[in-house]
Amino acid sequence: MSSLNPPPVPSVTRLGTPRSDKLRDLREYGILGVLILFGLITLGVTLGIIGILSVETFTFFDPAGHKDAQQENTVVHVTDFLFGTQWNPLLGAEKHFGVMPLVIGTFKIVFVSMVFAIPVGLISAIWLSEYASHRARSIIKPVLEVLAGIPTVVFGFFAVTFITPVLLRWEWLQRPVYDDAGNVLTDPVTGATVTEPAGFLGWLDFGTYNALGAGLAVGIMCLPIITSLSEDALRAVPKALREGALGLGSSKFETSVKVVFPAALSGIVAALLLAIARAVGETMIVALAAGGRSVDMGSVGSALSLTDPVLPMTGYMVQMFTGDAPHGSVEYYSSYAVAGTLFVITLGLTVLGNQVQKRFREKYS
Amino acid sequence: MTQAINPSPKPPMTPSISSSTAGRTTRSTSARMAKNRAFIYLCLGCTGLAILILTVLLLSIFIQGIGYINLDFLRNLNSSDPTTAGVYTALIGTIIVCAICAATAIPLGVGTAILIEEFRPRAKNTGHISGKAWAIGWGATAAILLLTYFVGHNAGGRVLEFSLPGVGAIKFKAVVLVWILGLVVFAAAWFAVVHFIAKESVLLFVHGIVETNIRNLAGVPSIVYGILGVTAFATMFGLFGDMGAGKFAIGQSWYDQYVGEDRNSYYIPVSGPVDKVEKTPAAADMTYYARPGSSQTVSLTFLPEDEAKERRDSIEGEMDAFDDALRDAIDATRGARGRGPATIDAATAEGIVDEAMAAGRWESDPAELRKDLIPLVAAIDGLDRRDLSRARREVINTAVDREYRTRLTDTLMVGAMPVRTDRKAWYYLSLPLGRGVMAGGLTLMLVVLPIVIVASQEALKAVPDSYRQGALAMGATRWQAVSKTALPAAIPGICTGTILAISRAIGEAAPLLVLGGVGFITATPQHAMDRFAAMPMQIFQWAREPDEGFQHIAAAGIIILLVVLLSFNALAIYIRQRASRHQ
Repeated sequence: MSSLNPPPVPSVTRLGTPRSDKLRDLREYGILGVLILFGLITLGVTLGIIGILSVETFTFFDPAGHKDAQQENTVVHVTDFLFGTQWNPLLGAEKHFGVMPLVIGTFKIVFVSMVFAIPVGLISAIWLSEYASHRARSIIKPVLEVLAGIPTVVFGFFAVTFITPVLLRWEWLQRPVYDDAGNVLTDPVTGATVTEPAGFLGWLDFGTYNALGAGLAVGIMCLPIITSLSEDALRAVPKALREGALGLGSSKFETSVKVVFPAALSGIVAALLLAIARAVGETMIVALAAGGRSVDMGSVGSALSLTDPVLPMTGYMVQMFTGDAPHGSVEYYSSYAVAGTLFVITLGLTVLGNQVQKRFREKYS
Repeated sequence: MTQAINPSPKPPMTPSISSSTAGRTTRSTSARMAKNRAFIYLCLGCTGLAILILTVLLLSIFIQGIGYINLDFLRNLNSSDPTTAGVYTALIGTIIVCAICAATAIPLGVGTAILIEEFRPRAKNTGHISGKAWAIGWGATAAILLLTYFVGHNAGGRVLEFSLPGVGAIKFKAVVLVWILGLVVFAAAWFAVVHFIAKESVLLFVHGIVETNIRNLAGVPSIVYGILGVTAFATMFGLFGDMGAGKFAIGQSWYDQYVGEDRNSYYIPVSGPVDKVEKTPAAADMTYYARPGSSQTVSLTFLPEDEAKERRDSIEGEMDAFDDALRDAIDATRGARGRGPATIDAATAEGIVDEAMAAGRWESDPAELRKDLIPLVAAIDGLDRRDLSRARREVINTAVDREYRTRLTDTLMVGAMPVRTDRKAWYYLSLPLGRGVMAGGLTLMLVVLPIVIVASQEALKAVPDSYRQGALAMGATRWQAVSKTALPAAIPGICTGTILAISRAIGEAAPLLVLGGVGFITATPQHAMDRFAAMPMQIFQWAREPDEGFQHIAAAGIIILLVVLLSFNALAIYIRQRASRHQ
């Protein structure tokens, strides 16, 4: 049995007011007990989340769990939920609870955001860590901090009022209007071709709510996370590696990209996984800008379309919690099942990211 | 190899001696240099893009919203009309919620960080807990759980009741007491295990779990915390009954509300929502009726039905003379031989009122009544036919109402039925917490807790170990070493991290949406269980409105939110820089 405190010393050297050793030890244990209680509360948070989500999700699948379950077609089987391709929770008798469209919707948003944020974020990180002067860093770092501190509802508002209108209408890029038969419409008076403002690049038809606009906003939100975490990883690479590479005749570009970058790869992968977890769990941007219709899995084109509205998992949860789904109904419990799915995905990504980062830390320090 | 021959390609360009003769690589030095330069441009482009995006974002919101920010916008309550809606409700809500969040998250977070960093067990034998400790620990756990279950099962349904002076009756199910007792015994048992058997190994075990857990918690989406907040705080797992009708409340007083014959409301204090008094009072005579909040007591009587009718009829009968006089006086001002529109100016209005009032008999104060009637009569100016008779009816009703209120005070309507109503003091507290500010603040505490812990951990890690070792060598205990040396040195870092965490809480909307839904809330919270609006929720709600006006005030709200957040960030940066200058 090892002792928590060093052995009592003669009272001459004791700090503070003279107290008996017993009293001092008692206080020490008291404080330690309080601190352990605090630690256990943080543990309780995780247990609480897991407990609540699993209980409510089991109720969702339980044939006798909720009041709608007595009706025959609202009993949801686990396989129907996990692999079903239709999500229609509100359509009366035609209710379908297949989570795939929601998951695909989430990952469409994540895909767009990462296509934007990963290259821009990583290249900025390399520049900040390898190239930038002290002066430039002292300007860019606060800018990134400001970007990271902006609430996500602001990005959502930005997506609705700026990004989507930019995607939606390019007034200077006109395109002809076709009738139902596919012929070009002409003005009966002047004989000129009737035109309308074209969507982005002149050929994509964007809805008011679309995956691309919401995804770009999520990407902007993730940008500072990727940049600052990757920069930390890059700066943690020992200087000797850079000096070695330069000494062997590499250019600065080759040193950064072929030596430092691979050396920091595990840290960068961890940063990316954390950023993806943030993008998966992002709520306010998609609630404002992604629209409310779940992905149509009817064809590959519509399933992967970036111009149509999407309903990601978080978007559905906001719909349910801000709407008026009656307590105890199957729709009510479905939001818990979706929350459980979301939690499993994000927790998996975070745990994976932390594991990768742990290995990276052991390697260099 | 090419690279080996070139000593240093970075500074001045060396002639590409080996570019054509290279054995393994086929790239020329000039091509490599071009790539090097191109990459710098790419880097600058990407970083520039980030700055450009931030500029466009801030500018677009600034342009949309700046015209709508004024003192009224800051002072007005929320409203369904975008021109008069203000941000005051949400601003106050945010301040209260974030204050609750900070007051709970900071002690919890810093405490946990101290546990992880400063009370790190020193045992080398990681993760090993002796078999005896395991057996005793889990044995005690199982025994306590079983005991709690059986006692709770048998006594759980029984409702315990006791009363406190000044508070009233407190009731709760016995199962609550059993669970609390069980938890206390459980904690005591584990403490015994830690103290006597496996101090370091149990600590190690707790440490490992807590540390891993916090890192993983940081990645949980905030909307999931909202779900936990609803269950753990708003409904409290259903332990204390339903929301809004909980088993436990302080600062709530109950009244039976009656409507009087004079159209006033009267309140009788009663003991609580459960023990209902008889709906119809048996006695015809009751005294000591009071309004909530006032010490005034009045004596009220129930009127027998025929008497009440008689008194109402007599008042209305007396008013007939007033009615006739008023009609005659107004008709005298009408053009087209008494059939056209009335022409009434300020002087004639006074004349008409005086003339009509002279015909009636008044028990209420005639001067007061006259003052109220003149503007009503003046409003008849220019009216014709049905509009005129409706406006005249209004004048008469005002006078009748005044007489009712004067002559029928202290009388309750025949067979008046009470409505049970309550009034909540500012210190009102109830369990479960419901969807109020307290639950909102605690939910945000869950969201920012991992951030506070990680930031405090980093700050404590940065304090040199020699501080603690010095203190320990002088005979300090671990806690003395932490509280007198390491913690003060880490305070600036903890402050910075905490401020950033609180600014995260200010901007967080998703968990509050799950907790409170999108309600239309116009009032600031009056007590800790009151519903509230917060800035980001309010912005979300406005941004969803199709009306263009709401988009603009949403932008204006964002500007205010960003100003608050940026000043928080500036404070954090200032503290950090001041601290680094001192070291």
